[in-house]
Amino acid sequence: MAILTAGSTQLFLDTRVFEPAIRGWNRLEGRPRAVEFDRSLRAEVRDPLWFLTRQWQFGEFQGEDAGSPIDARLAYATTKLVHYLPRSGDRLDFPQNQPLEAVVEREQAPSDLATHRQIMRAMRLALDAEGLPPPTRQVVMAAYRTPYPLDAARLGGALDGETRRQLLFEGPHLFDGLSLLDDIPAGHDGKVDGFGLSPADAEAVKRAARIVQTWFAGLYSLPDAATPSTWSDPQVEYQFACETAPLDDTAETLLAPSYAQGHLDWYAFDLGAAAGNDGDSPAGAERKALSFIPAAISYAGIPNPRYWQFEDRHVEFADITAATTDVAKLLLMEFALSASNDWCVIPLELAVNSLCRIEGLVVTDVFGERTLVRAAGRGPDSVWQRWSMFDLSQAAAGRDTRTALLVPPTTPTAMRPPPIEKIVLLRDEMANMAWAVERIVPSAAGPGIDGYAYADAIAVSLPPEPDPAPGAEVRYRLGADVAWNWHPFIPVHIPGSNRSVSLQRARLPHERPPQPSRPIVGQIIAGPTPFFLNEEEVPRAGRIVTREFRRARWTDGSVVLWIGRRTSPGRGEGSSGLVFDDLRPIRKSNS
Amino acid sequence: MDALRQTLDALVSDAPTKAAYEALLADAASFDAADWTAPLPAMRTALRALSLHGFAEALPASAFGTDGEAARRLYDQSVEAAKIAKARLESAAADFEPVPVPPAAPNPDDAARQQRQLIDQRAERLRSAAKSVFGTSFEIVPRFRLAAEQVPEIAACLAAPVETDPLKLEAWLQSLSRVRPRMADLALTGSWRSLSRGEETAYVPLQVPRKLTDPWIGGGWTTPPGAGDIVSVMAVERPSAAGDPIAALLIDEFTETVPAETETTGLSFHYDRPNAVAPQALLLALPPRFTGGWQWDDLVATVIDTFDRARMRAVEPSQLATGPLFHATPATLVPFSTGWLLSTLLVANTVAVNQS
Repeated sequence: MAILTAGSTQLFLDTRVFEPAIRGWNRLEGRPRAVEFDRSLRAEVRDPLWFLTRQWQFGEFQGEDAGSPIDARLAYATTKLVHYLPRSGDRLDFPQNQPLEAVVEREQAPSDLATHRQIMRAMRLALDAEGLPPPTRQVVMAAYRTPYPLDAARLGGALDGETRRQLLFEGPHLFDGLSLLDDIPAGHDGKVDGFGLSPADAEAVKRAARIVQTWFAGLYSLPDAATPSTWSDPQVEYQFACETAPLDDTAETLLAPSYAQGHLDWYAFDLGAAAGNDGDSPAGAERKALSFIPAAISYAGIPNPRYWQFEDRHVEFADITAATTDVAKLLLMEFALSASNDWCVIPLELAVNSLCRIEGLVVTDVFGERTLVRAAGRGPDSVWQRWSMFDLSQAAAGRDTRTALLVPPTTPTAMRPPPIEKIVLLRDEMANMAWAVERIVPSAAGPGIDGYAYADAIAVSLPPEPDPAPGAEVRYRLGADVAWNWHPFIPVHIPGSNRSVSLQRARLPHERPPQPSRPIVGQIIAGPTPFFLNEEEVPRAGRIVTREFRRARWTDGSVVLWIGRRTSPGRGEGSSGLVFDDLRPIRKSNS
Repeated sequence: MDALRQTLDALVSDAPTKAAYEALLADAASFDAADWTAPLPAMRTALRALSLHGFAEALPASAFGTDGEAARRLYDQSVEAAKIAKARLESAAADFEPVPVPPAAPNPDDAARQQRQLIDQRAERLRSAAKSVFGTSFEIVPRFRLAAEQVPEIAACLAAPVETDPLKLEAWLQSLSRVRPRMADLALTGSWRSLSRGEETAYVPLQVPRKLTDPWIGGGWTTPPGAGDIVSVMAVERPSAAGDPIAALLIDEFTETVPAETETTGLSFHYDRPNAVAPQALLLALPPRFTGGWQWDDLVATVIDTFDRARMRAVEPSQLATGPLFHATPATLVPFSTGWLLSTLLVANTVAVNQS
């Protein structure tokens, strides 16, 4: 220190190190809350008190003015469909032994090679079963070809190459099975007597024919000749109605005004005007009561109502992606996340073919309080705030909703092969008309074949264009041709209206008789002339109508096979390339 | 096939023939029928024999020609055919190698599965070998035997078929022929067989599990079959015996569902049940005074106190900031100063000294 002078000491003490400073304290403490939620959502476990704390925070200790339901009594009434009304309005007995789809859709068996072959096969087996010796059987099978000859004209559908090949081999053996079956009540037996058989054999043949008749009726679900079709050509859909057995002197009418989806279920039906009790309806209505312990609703993905409970793997809150405008989704989320434990469900076993109406539901809670639960969707049908699901709409305006669940007797699964006919209805804005394109046509052999290929095979082409005159610069065409599976529909006025139009099946100008006209191979647009199609049935997107076999099993295991149609949206507009008064330059060749 | 290939090879590499061919190539006029009298028919025979092995390219290019052009073409074809046949045989050779057998698994079930896999693998390789030799459209249908435990059941099914009415079987077939293209082929084949040869195809339905009370599931019934899945196999030709080796083609397979007479629907309703749930903790409590028994008030107070504590558990430090106990709450205190580090340290030491 001796070497430090006073001046240097002062200097040393003046350095900033020795300047007086203000001192403060920072306090670091744990803060349990954060802006981010992910830590909190992990529901980390700490001490036992923490379990209770979280429960308290989530309101799980909150007392409410409510009691848990422990008992519920349900009264319900069911009634059956007892009448079936096809489009004409005839009241028929409701068919019990097959699915309703088959009854609504079924068509006559096609007169194709497959059908005739089936009848021939059955006849052969039936003759065997009747004990006819093989030589006699061969005589009979050959003899049937005289009164019931099968020629190509008798076959419906396209005569394509495959059909011709089959005809070449089978033609000499086949007889017209459909005519034979039709003839059984009339002249069949007389014709069999003319076969020159012994009386016993002739009787056996007649019995065999009846066996085949029964067999064929069991093979296909065929419409009664007297029952009119339910298919409406202009509307391209099935239209029918059903009536229930009266319940409290009122029978309900269920209308299916536009069914063509291929699967018939409750949503195809509307409730029509109530019909009175006509007195002769068979009793099909019954009232039942059910007592049960209400169970909380549960479904895949339902969150647990408790906080301290492991969710199963189906619950993933992070996967909820709903924008603020997704009202329906948000409603569902709201229900699933916060209200799902307030819903109870009871299984209610209903017979197939029943209309069920809940008459009353009384719930008793643990305190003995009884509550009458009423339908959420009750009230006038027109009230827009009304909300319900699986409920039938009212066809008639101004009526109160009758909440009822319909379990129609329909098939859950039907085998659907490739269609035998497919029509595409489309608009052609360029030509200002509509077209029905036969995309798939039924072949006379049975299966559907490509409509374009068949059209190419049968088309009679227009005379070739003449060579242009030397020096000609343009070519004028009166009109163009269109592929032969395109069938034109032109707009026509609906009588009595000056704006509405309807589409009428038409012909191209050069098809005027005696010129050959394009044949309609299938059946969907083959109705009698004049054939109309409602304009709204051919939307801008087009419409596809298919006809196909369907095979289903019914409750007693029986096999039901029928032909049905269904429609689906098309794939947009089309262009036929049809033009009239067409003037176009002739391309100069380079030479 | 290999013998044929060797014959062809021998024919084309025969020195006089080769020389004649080369002479022919150099000068078409040098054709001498005498050189070719023996080789030409020999080549034709070998080629024709080779063509029968699904080898369309080997069909002799010239059936009867004896001129120079025919000789040249046949010679060329023989060379090519021998080459292709060699390549085909070589590509098939690998498939004839024995499959390496892995060591047997200790578990009998595993061993059996391993054995089945081995058999499948072997069959697959043989099929592949056959395809390489005879062309891709050549199919071998391997023969197999039913497992020993299946034989009695199948034998019983064969002995007494579940359905024998030919009209019912025909109805089943014909109904399916409208919806399943392969069944349509089968029905057509059966019908044409009957027409051309007068033979009827014997369809035998085999239904397992075999229960005498069960009806055939292919058609309608009066007494329904028992619950559960039932498999029905339609044998197109009756196998001779269940235990014999059989070869089979799978024509079609499908599943059908028979609808029930009743459907279970659901009725749901809203009932506002209380949302309170049981506490997620066990309360182990001791009475405040040991008097030999719990007092009701003590018990109630314990529970209330516990829930109070549960609420207090949620208290955060910031909520205590205004209270007198704030200083006592656990925290880490860190000093800071406006001056330099040293000054703070010195002052801190001073404070410490003063306090001591």
